[in-house]
Amino acid sequence: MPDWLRRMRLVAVIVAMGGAMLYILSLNFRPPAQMDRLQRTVVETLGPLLHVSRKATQTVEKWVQSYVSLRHVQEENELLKKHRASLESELVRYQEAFLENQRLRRLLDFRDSLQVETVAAEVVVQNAAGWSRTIIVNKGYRHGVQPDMPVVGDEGVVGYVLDVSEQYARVLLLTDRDSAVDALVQRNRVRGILGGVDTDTCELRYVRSNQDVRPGDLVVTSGKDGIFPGGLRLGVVKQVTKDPSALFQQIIVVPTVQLSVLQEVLILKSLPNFPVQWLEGTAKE
Amino acid sequence: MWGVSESQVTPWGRFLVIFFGYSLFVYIIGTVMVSRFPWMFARVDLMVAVCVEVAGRFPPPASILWCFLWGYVGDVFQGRLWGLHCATYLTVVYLHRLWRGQMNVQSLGYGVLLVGLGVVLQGLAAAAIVGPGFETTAVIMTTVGQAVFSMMISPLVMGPIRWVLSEKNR
Repeated sequence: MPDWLRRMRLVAVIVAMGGAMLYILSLNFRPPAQMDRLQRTVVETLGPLLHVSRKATQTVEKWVQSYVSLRHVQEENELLKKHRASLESELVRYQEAFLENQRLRRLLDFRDSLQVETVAAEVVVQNAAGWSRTIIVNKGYRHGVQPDMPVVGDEGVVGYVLDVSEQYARVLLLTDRDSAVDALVQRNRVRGILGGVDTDTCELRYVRSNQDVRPGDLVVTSGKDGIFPGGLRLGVVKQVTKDPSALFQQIIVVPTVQLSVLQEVLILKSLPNFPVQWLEGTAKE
Repeated sequence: MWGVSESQVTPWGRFLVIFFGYSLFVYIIGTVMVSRFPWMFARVDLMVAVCVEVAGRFPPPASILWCFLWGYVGDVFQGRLWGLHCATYLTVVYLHRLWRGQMNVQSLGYGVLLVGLGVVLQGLAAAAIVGPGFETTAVIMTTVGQAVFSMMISPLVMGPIRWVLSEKNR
């Protein structure tokens, strides 16, 4: 390349650079107005590309934020689940305490109304579904409990103490086949012996066929068996079957106490003077 | 005349890839993502790193053309401080031409240092133009922070250019 041409090219480059730089610098002193053609070209060409890129970036950013947020929400959710489980178990404990409180309150009221020395006991073992229907309570000889003492709940008779240990006592429930309680139909004083049939029912035995016993009659203790004081609620007559050829009628009685869900009982240490409301007036309940 | 031998001349295809494609990619990344960083020190001009590689690997006319093109694009989208980007890139190219005899311009360390210097010059020039609205300490802290951050991430920007234009990759 000839030397003059090389010089000319250098000059041309310098002039072009200078011109371009002057143009760019001159833009600093232009009043804000519409962009010139070159600026418009750059903006119009790259603008859409930058716009799309920005949108794409924002979308990715949102995904990332959503993911992070989701992770955070998941962690929070786990924490809340644990918290809820803890609160639920606490609530169950409170509910249990509330129910226990209600049961004990009823039992306390009952004890006060009995005006007799009693021992409150909790059911430790419930063996109502076996051959022998008994329960174990947490009061025994040390607490003054002795065999044949009546055991009652706030709704009526539970059974009586079969045998005792130092700390515990075994109670024979009304529903046991070997249980026998001298009983009366409260309405007309018809007498019979109440014994167990199955886990939920008893039978009032030895009631002659010509006696008037109806479903709904309340059966109470007679007080003549040497164990139970008279007038304690035993159960309600559920079904009466009369066979003309038989000497006795078949009377099915449902105990007033729900023996399968028993939790607290009272053991009567002496024969009380029962209040009137426990003796009369609740036959149809 | 430009001090570039025939063996150093990049094939046109790769040259165009870097000149337009990769530069546009880096510019978009810088505009769309880096400029939205919440920290001032992180809002750096990624094109300085591209400029350093361009200055070291392209013939001077192509480097100068690159400086004007992308400097102008940067200025247009910034809308003020016209000429700041162009001047910075041209200064980087000039400094490279000045030092290429004394330093190992192929090393990454040299490139990183030149990027840091370019960012410092750009920051100081911007602060000088914008005027006394900023505290000197804040300007210095921001500029140094941006320089350090630019130097840290510049290998990531320069790496692909080196890979595209490497001898092995031809």
